[in-house]
Amino acid sequence: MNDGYALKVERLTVRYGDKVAVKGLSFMVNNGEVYCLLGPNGAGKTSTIKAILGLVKYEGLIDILGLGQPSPSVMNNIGVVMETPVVLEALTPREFLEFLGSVRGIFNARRAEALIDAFELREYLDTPIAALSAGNRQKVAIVAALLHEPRLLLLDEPFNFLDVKSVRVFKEIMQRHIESGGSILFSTHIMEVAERVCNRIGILNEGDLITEGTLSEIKERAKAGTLEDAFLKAIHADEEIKAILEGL
Amino acid sequence: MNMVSAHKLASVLYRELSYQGYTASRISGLRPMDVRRAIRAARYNKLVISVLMGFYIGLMGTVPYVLKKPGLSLIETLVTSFFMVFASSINVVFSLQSTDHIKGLLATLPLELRLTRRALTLSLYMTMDLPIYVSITASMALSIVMGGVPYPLIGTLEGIPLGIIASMGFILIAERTLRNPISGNVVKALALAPIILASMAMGYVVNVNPSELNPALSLAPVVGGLFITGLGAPLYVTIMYITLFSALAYVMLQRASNRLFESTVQVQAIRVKAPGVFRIRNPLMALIRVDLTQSFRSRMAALWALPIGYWLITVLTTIISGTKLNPMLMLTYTMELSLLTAFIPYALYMSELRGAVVFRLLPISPIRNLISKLTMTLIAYYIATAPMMIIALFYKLPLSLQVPILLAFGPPIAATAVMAILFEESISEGAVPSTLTMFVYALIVMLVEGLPTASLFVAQMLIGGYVIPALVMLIISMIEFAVALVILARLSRH
Repeated sequence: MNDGYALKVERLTVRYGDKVAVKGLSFMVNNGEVYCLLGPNGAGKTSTIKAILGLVKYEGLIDILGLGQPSPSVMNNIGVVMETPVVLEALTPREFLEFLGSVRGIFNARRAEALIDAFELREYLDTPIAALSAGNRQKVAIVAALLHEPRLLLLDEPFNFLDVKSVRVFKEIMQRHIESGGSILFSTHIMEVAERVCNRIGILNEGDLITEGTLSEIKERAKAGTLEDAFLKAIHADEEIKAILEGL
Repeated sequence: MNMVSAHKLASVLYRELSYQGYTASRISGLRPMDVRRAIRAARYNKLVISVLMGFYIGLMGTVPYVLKKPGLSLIETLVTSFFMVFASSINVVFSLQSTDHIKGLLATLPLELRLTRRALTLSLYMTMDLPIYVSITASMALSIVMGGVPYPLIGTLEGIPLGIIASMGFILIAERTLRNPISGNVVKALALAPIILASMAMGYVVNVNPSELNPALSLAPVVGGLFITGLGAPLYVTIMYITLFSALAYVMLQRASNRLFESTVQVQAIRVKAPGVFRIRNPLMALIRVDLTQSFRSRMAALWALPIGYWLITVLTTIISGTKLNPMLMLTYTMELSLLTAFIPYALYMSELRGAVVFRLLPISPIRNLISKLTMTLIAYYIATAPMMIIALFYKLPLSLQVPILLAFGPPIAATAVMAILFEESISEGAVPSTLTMFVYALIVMLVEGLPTASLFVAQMLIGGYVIPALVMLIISMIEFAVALVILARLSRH
């Protein structure tokens, strides 16, 4: 176990053919913090998370919880919610959760019950996941990510498809996770969410980390009142937007 | 007024359909590492299918001429073209889950309904147009080269519309049922049945003697063509059937395309008030259980029926027809069953593509995953061959024949390990394998299976007996298995 950080990424580069999606990215997620990766569409946020999970080929160094690069043995310490629900659609939520618990060798029935109730999934437990709505599928993915009480949560637009009530529940769970010493890498392009939940923020643009710091540091550096203004200034989109609006 | 022609709109829709069919990225959750390459590959896919189709039509159509039974060329080309059209277009059914966004997009465009419908029919036809043209050309060329009655061309002209009717019929049924979790599974399981039956029928058609057929069959579809000797009733009846099948194929194509994109079928959810009971198992057992569940609930389910189909079509027909079961025939059956079993891990790995990301995010190493597949391959092998052992005993065949039957699990085991490598490789590329890659996979599996099988027969000829040849076969397959395992372990570390 590493005392200082939960995740260390150094000189990370991800390529899709000729396109370089992430260019030599370096950042660190400390224990007990929510680190937000912000960026416009195509900035490289999802590619970064996929590289951390070993889902895409990458160059550079990734150290998860001091246990090294992504590997099957590291996976029991990570919980993942992707922008589209990562589930086995042929199974029912019950079969899926049983499978996860069995393969991980970690299953706390009380926690499972509590999470199922928290996300109001009980009545769908025996319905094939393929037949569930997008929101319910995402809820199953969230329960799956939280079930084994991982130390590090990797969340890529986790609030996609969720209703207001579930978003509130999930935010509360995230808060408790941090209070108990866990860490979160949170990727989003919704500034209001980032402003509320993140301790530190890294802004990505075209695969580069263009600025990093706490919310107040980023706002101060950009001389902006809100994170949204700071973000737009950081990616040099403020002038562009002005010009676009004038042209309308 | 519409600014776009049906053809132009269809070509755009076709590109999207073929890309989704090729990458299945909406299903697997994995994005191709190189999207441009995937788009190109999706286009080449059709070209590859066309070349394969032309090749197979030529090959299968020639065999009856070599056997001096030219009439059977009609059946061989008919079955081949049916098989190829069905196999290539059936993929569209399984990209059903990916077409929601196409439906959504079309609904927002100011297009006339008639134009949209025409474009949709055309786009569906485009998934199979080139293979159709190539197979007609190939069968026409074969007919010209061989001379006489153009049996290959007639067979192809009958087989193509029948293939379209079968696949579109399947689309129409599947569209209604795929989202219903229960009937959907049954329909998916039946999807490969025509392919399996067609592929098996091809091998046994050559045993038919056209001159012994009842003349009344000259008016029947398909076999009626065997009675064609020149101008006359059988030819006119066959032309009538071709016209009828083609018209029906067109109607089915139109209906299927409309249904496919304009459906308002709602997701059907079964709500069950469930008590909170979870069963946690041993990790390997959990993996095996999920593998089984996923494969039975996927389109690969029918591959499990291969050994049973083999039994029904091959072994039982041999016994019923009174053919004497000799040891060499039994050995051949055993090795054929062994080859069929080698395709079960293929089914298991392919059905896993749907949740490839989930498997990557769990502490499941490729080796552990392989152990699960090996267990099931072994179970499948022994379920399929147990009756073979009993029959061998019943027919009082040499007791030593039981040894190769017992040990022919070796080649499928080696093939399973090779499949694991191919699966890991294709997943790391982020795309579902293309038709060409799948064809190469099949060839590799056959090669892995073929080497020990060949060694068994060679050793049998050189040394005689069954025990030593079986051991030679087992040793060679274990060497293959070990090599594959080393490669897989290296991949895991990477």
